[in-house]
Amino acid sequence: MPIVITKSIKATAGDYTTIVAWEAGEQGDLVVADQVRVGELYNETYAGIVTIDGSTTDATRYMEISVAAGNRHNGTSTGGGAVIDPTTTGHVFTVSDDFFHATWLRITDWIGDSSEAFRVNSTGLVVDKCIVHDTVPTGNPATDNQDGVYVGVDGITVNVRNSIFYNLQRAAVMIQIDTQTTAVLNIFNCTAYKCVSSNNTLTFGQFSARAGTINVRNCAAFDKVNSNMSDFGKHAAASWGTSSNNISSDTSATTTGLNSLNSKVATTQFVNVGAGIEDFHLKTGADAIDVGVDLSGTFPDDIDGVNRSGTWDMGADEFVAAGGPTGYPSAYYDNHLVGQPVGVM
Amino acid sequence: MAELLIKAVDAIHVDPVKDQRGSYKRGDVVVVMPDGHVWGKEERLPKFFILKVPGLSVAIANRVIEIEKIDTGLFDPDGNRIARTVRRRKFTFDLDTLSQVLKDQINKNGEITFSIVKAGTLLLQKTTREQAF
Repeated sequence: MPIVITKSIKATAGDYTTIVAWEAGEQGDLVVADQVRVGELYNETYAGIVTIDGSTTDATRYMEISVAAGNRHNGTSTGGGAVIDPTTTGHVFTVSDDFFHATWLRITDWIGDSSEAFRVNSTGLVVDKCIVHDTVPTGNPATDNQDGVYVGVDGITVNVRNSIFYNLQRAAVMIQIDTQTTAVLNIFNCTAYKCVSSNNTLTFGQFSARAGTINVRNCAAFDKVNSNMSDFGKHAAASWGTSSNNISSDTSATTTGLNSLNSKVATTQFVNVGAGIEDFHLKTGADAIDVGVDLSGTFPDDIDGVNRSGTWDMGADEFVAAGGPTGYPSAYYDNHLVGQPVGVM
Repeated sequence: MAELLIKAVDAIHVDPVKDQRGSYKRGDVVVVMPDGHVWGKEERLPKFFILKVPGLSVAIANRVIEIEKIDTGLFDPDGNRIARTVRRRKFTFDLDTLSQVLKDQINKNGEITFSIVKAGTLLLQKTTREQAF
């Protein structure tokens, strides 16, 4: 088992004061060192954008940005946590090291045309329990191309799960380029709401692929803004792979695969979709409850870190009836078992 | 006044392309902060040292954290020119021309203070050796 080296990133009394300095100070050969190197954020606002590159990594030894226990968001728009709110133009994370992990982040208000929360140039990225929302429009709708997760090169696999994307100026997660025929998106238990596409010849849905394979399972996509895009959409050249069990407000969910639900209403699914007070936890009676597929072979929990149980739900949240468990449990995250088989080890 | 966090040692990757593109090198300015910034416990030797430059604005100092990119001549599907990263940093703090006395001062204190003029003679573009300011 690799050794986990955790360094704090905070304004005062931490190991590092910026994510950029953490990445510069910790990059190296993590395979030889047999280490996972974690930069741990706190309940603060971080202004920088960062490139993750220069390290040697593999599926079990990688760089990770996460948030310290007790400092994590509560899965809502107003629920605190570590906020990355850049003051400079560009991708929030340019990821060029394989198997980079980003967990528990809230990313918002990033700046610039064709800037993404995650521009991915390497394989194995894991985005988990992140809330990505409300980009800053450039003022020119024709160039407001700001995606949540954007596949930058062909031949890579990108994993996004238990995450929420809303009010973005383009797709939540997408493969955009025609030649990315072997790129693979695994989007599991994510929620997208009111993501806009300014460029409909290139974007097909809030979860979108123009080429490659897009495996979308247990995802919820509601209220896409433009009439000529879908909640879930792809070009004919792309494949839905093993997609299934999705829910949408339009009629696109059933195009992805079996056991999907069309034409549902956001306000009957989520606690609150009001601007500025969004809460995408499922509410009592939601259609998305207990209609998902069990993905516990890949990950065990939801956006709150609560272990999913019984028949899984669609979307980032696993509905918990009043009196049930809340908050992250969980030795799972704090021991950095993400991406590893679940069970006795 | 600005304070600059500078790499004290090379990071190395076995792939020469990734090494040049992704590894911070000795002399690379990683972060610029205003005067009085309280640096973290790891933001010091042996990984980094601090250059303090009284009177230098953060806005001007930020020039030295520019990433070196080249225009590929290609366009992405949105019509934007595609630039490729060549080096983490376009500029370097030229440690090699520092006197041994000044190097010893950095090694002892983990920081050094220079005037804007002196700092300008040491913060150089890697390929052309032009001053950053």
